[in-house]
Amino acid sequence: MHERIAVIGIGAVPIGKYKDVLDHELLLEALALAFEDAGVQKEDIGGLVFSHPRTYTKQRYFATFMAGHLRVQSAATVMEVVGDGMTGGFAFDKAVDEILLGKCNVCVALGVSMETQVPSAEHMDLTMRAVGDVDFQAPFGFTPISWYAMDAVRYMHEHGATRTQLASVAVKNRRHASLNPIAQYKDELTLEEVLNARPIVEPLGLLEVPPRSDGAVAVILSDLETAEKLGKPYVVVRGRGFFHEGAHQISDKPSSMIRLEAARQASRLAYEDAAISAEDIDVAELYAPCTIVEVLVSEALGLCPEGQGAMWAERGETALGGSIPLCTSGGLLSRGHPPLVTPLYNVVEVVQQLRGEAAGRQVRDAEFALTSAELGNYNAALVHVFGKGG
Amino acid sequence: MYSYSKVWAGPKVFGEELPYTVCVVDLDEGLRLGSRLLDAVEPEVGARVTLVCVHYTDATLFFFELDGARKNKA
Repeated sequence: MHERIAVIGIGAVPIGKYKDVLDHELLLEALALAFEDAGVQKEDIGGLVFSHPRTYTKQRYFATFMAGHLRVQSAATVMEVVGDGMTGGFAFDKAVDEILLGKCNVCVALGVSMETQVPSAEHMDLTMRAVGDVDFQAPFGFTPISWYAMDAVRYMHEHGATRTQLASVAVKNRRHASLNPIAQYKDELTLEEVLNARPIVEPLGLLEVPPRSDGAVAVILSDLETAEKLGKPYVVVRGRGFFHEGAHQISDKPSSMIRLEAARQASRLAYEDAAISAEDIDVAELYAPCTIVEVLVSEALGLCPEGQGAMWAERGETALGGSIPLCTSGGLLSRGHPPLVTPLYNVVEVVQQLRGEAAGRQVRDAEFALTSAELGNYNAALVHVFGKGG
Repeated sequence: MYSYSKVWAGPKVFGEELPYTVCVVDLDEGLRLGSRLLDAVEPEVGARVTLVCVHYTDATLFFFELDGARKNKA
């Protein structure tokens, strides 16, 4: 990437359950925060890349509606991107592309994800048709997180990891969230509370699976010249990698479900692009909807030793103050998980870390940070590496 | 049996069938399938299972049964 793209502004509303607020007005709140943060006006905006909103957002053709609402003209792009859990990550990646292509100097990646307007059982009627073959798997009732639960069973079988080790991820993330003003759940948890929570998809209980969350977030990107001219702190996109393993949830040819091959390949490409290695990463904000997923992806990205991710979590290596702090925002489990914009919330966290503005959850001397986004059972992964800018 | 999970919170359409166990099975023929385990007992990773077809009026679906349990039933 050769340090050509900067993140110049971030804005995010606290994650939670929003009632009596219009989806696009919530997004405007986030966008106004990002404008203020970047020191830009809407006249400076060259392009807008939205994460496609949930079907529960009544306004369709959301991007063009927003262009009208904002009265923003664009010769670059006004579009929505779609990619399951990777949607927000694609929005960010596409905004990078627009600038690299020379179509604009400033591009915004933004979106709103409203989840809590329908009960989760009703929501799963929809999502079970996404996370599996609609003819050959959906009829059996696989839910998105039931695949991760099967990962957990398999991981414990292969590596001898314990339930307590996995549960320690949830305790750690809640402690991080207690230090994050925009987190959905901030009250600290004990291991016993996590282990005794009612089962959702065995072996995972209520506190090891993501909550239902609404959120809205905007991230403003620019070329480096523009970032320098603005004279405010910025963060540089150092590298990126994408990989799809060519399987949907499971391959019909037996292979490891827990190696997360796409995350391995995407991170390898991102490290190469950034000319660094996994050991250089100081803090990582992972797309990890369940405790087990954080463990698996931490290994796949090379941040924890193979087969020891759960042990590292239990020993505190992945907590603030440990050797590789993961999900300092509180992660999807505690910061909250509005899926279609979660990857953009991940960018917000690493930007705060690299600007040294993460207050109580600041990783000291953080120089390189990583975000990941995924879909399915990490069948595809999108990894971005960030570095300190001016 | 490659892996499995007992699902306690599922789609509304399967609400009356909760809890149920989903599983991933590798067939001897080298094919991986996802389905439901018909047995109520907790399986083990590596357990041998048999594919059983259930004929509904509008479709035929395949499920799995633990081999031991099958014998007990017979």
